[in-house]
Amino acid sequence: MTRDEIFAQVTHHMAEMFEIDPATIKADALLREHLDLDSIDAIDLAVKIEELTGKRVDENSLRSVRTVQDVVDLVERIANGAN
Amino acid sequence: MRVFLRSLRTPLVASAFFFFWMGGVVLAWVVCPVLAVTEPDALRRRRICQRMVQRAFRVFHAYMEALNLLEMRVVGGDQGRPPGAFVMVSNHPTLVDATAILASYDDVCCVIKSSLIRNVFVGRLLRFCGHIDGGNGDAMSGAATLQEALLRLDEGQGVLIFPEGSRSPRRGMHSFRRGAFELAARANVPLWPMFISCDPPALARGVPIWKHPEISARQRLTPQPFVPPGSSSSSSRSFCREVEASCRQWLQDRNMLDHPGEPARLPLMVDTTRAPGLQASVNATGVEGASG
Repeated sequence: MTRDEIFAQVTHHMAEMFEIDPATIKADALLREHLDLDSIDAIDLAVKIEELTGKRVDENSLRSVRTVQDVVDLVERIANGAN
Repeated sequence: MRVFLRSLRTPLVASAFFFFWMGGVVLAWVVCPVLAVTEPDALRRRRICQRMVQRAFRVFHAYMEALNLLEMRVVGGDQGRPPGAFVMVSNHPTLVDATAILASYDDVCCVIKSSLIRNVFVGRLLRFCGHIDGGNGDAMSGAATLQEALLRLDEGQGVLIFPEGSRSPRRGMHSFRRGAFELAARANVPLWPMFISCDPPALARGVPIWKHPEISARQRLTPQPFVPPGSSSSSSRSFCREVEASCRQWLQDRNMLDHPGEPARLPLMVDTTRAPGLQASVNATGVEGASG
């Protein structure tokens, strides 16, 4: 998957899971401040990332995720096996 | 004289925390490195560390009790503990609630603030004990905390969370966050509320140690009946609100019980509509709630 494809996938799933307007899901949007996600939403997102990549996400790589771009980067890293 | 007596208590409180930190540093920097070599199995190492720290916390609380600073008791003992893993939620009136709970109950990991688990002096000890990084408040960081807590529950540990997120304000309570409740639901484990009171308030948020009460503070851990998984039909959000409300009620009842004579409201129950002149004099005494 290319970066753009991953971004499109992430946007699609986030819009669906959290009932957010896809237009507001920009790369630099902060998950908590801009998209109003709390830790429970985020754990659903983490589970979704595991579904998408088929691999377990470790806690330390989750801790540094703040923006949508960070999510995309994380998915890309995991998908490429560099988790 | 009172000022003198009070000033004596400050070094006593300070000494308790000095020994507390010294003990932590010794365990983290002398015992942990030895254990890291001699006990490669992380789970067994955790058990050893937890038992060691539990004894240290018992000594810490015994020391504070011996110095007449703070007396900790569990009301009702250990019989209410659910079998196996559980999520314990507790209010957080004092600085020593986690030490009190961990001194009293085996096999419990605690979600603690990030700065402490990264602390250079004691962080390693806390990580060896299996305590969980509470994160930086970001959404994904919270998810990481919950995921780590899920792992602990899978391993059969109890997980202690202070759902207020930090220490309670003096004689008050912050609202509960629902993470702990959601965690219990997802892990399908019992939720075990623990209500803590401290009378008079001591080691509370915003109360410096030189204002430690002149009498021994009575810290009481009162375990509540645990809620088995699946028995609450409500969402984690409303379950959270329910437990918070019952904790508030419990604290309110407790305050009335502990201070039957105070504040002296009786003489102030004046019908101010008939005696408007009294209103001003009542307010001038600075008594809260008198106008009601």
